[in-house]
Amino acid sequence: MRKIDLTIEICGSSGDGTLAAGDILAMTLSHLGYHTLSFDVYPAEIRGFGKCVAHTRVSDAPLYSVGRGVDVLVSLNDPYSIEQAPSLKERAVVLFDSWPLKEVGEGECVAGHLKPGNYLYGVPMGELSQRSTHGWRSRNIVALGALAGLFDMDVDGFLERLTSKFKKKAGVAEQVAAAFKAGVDYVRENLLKIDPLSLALDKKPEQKGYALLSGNEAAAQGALDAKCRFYAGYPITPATKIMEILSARLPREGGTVVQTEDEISAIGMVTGAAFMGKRAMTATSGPGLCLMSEFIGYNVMAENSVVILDGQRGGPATGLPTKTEQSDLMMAMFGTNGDAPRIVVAPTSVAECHYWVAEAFYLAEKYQVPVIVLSDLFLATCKTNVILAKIDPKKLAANKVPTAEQMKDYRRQLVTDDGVSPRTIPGTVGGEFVVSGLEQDEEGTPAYDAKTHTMMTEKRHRKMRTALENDVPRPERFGCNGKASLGVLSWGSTMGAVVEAVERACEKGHKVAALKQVVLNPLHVEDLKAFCADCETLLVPELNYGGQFANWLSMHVSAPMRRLCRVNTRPLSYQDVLEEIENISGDGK
Amino acid sequence: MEHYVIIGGGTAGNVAAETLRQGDAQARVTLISADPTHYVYRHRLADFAATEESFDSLIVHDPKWYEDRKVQLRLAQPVVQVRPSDKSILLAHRERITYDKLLICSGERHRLPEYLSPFDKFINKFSSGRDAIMLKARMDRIEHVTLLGGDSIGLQLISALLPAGKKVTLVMDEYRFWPFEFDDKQKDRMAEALSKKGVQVLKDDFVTDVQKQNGGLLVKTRGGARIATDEAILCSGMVPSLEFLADSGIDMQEGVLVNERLETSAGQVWAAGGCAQIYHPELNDYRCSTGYVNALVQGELAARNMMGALENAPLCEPGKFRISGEEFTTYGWKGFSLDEKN
Repeated sequence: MRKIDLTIEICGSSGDGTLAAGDILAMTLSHLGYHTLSFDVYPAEIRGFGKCVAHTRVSDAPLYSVGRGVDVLVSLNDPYSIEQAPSLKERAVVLFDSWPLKEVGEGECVAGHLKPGNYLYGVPMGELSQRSTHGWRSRNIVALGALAGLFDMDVDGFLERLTSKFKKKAGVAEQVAAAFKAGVDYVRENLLKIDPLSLALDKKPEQKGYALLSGNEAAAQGALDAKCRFYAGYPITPATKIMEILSARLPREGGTVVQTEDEISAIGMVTGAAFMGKRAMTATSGPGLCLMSEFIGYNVMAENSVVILDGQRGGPATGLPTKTEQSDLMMAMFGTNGDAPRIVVAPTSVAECHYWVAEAFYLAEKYQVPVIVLSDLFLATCKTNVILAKIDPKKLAANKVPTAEQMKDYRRQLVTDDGVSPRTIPGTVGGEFVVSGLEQDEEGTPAYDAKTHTMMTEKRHRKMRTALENDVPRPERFGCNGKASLGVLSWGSTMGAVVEAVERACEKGHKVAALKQVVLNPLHVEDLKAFCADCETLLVPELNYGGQFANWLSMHVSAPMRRLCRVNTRPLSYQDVLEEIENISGDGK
Repeated sequence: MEHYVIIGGGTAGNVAAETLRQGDAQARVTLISADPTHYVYRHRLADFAATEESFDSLIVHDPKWYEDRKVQLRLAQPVVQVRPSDKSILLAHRERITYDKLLICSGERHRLPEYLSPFDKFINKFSSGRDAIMLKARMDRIEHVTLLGGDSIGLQLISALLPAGKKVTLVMDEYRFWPFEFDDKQKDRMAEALSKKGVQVLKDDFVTDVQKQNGGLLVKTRGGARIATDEAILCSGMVPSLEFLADSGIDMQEGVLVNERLETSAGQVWAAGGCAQIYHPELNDYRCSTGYVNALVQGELAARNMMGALENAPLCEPGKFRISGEEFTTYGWKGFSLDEKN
């Protein structure tokens, strides 16, 4: 049972340092021993004064999803924060700038929009910033100081983390420290904490080995750990961060990063690098994946090992560039012409972003297929404490090398029992080959006859079955054992909300179970069927309108499924799922 | 739709809000309080500070009460200016609110006698929920409390501190015992009664110095007493809290001057409770009143008058309290007895 479970939102305008403050808060809380899960909401426009919200959930136990409702709102911009006021919990705390630059009319201040049970603390953030740093830009740091002072956090530890973040910028660390202290001192000297919220820990939780990472950062680390040596991409929200990280780190590992002129070019370059035997990857979002669909088919046909990460966002088209959604599933599964089997994985957590990106390289190389990793904006940008998995060194070289016997008469598309053909790296004497997007026989000669097409299509699908048998982990069931009144099936980042909701539902006595499967294609259908048979009712929560995952599952099992579909631009909270569980289960626990 | 704004989140303000809502279902009612805590039973604050009692148990109306009545509650939002000329008030955080009708029931603040003002930073106050929370936070470290002056709040504290095993000294102001002036005979009775309860009473003495000493305080008196104490608490009466009205143009004397119908000199502005100095035709004079009972009566009456009634405020009713069998009269406080506890 959690003793601490608070959601803190810092809300401001672009330019207020809102997201920077949120980042520092999450980083520091994590360092102080708390479990945190944070993500940002920000405008799509690069310039301007749009609304930004840094959302941090903090607990003394591991976190898997966002919570609904806000416990602490720090307002750096009241007009925007007013929009957040309906999310305040009954006993929420609001910290606001009590000395704005000019007088405001009634209702233009967040103080006029609180619930009767809310606690309001005014801190003259701008004034304190001005006094301590001779400028207004440190209001965000003053706010952090006030927050630390109000919640009696380890102020010295906070300050240490804060100054270390800015130590490379001459003079900035001192200013930041001054602003932070001004916030702390103001609260201690002027405010009395009367709200019941607390961040007090009985003892500092064991955080050894934890790193605070976003899904994008974890994915980039996964690529590095898997010995990715080529990355090409075109900047797009939310995947750009991966390229930023790799462009700094990959060259040091002997790799190459190319920012291309568009996504078609990016996947083309990745295809070429993979053809040459390099572990190669691109990362994009839905609009980019659309452009890459032709090359996905090409790589299926050419049996080439590419890794494509799709950070899903609201769509269709350019859609909602900075809002999360899970609506690219069908495109990832089927996007391209023809029967084009590919492996699709959807990590459910930041830690899995690391593991499954690394695993994607292994699967792509071993089975000579495109592997699509489905992340989403929430998972890509949310930061949480993780322990990264160690990558099995055996998986770093998975290419099926031809035997000496096979090299005597090398056939790139050799039909084998497992569907995987031995592959030479171009330039290998005696192992020369030709591939194209045309259907081809074992030698790579274009062939349009029915027999060849049937044989090669079967071969390409056989690889999926082999992968399923050898390398796709069985789905993981959790929640209650045995027969369940309700079974929950979900995917990707929504699984975090399901994990917490099922845990809480079980604590309340509901007979609920859930099934987690990270690899969505190929699918362990028998396990899926067994789970469905165990559950009286099935619920599939996901972030798209029509229930794409439910539709995908329905292609394999005939059980009716209730859908919890949202396209409200926010990740599902565990409360969203829990409420639905309770609605369905009723008293029939 | 009328917008009624009430300044003050105590008894008068809350009862006025409820009365306004009952009388006008459509009106906007905004209740503004400088205090960060909800409206509490003030007579139980001392018990809360000295015992394990939770703060929530002191709260008169829970948040739902305000939601149900559609009363907008603004806590921790001090008013710094009232401008009757454009019917607006300014909050400390620079938000200007306009009203159609305004009720001032800002209550009282501590009276700090001039001779104690040099030691203000060493002397704690006790009348609000905020004060009580702060005192409770220190209570574990307190063995000896010295009360300076003498008033009803001091008696409340005595009634809570003695059962909690705290030593209490009362330096009884030589001039008055608020909210009533005692003659020497009454003062002697009071001192004797408190002494019987175990309070160290320094009657007719006068604090000349308060300074820090060994983590606590040293209180010196004109009579030569040197009291080593953990806490010095001001109990020297209350005065109307009116600072925010300084440039309002509203007539004030000790309190906000109001006629018998609680109307101030500014149009559409009323005052009630401890901050109001009410004209009573039967006395042909103005009187301030204090305490829960008066606030209750006046808050309700002011609200009715704001909605069109023309009722006169009654003279405040006396209350009684007993100490060691002796009975004393008070105006405004609910009757209580130290004998029940000791």
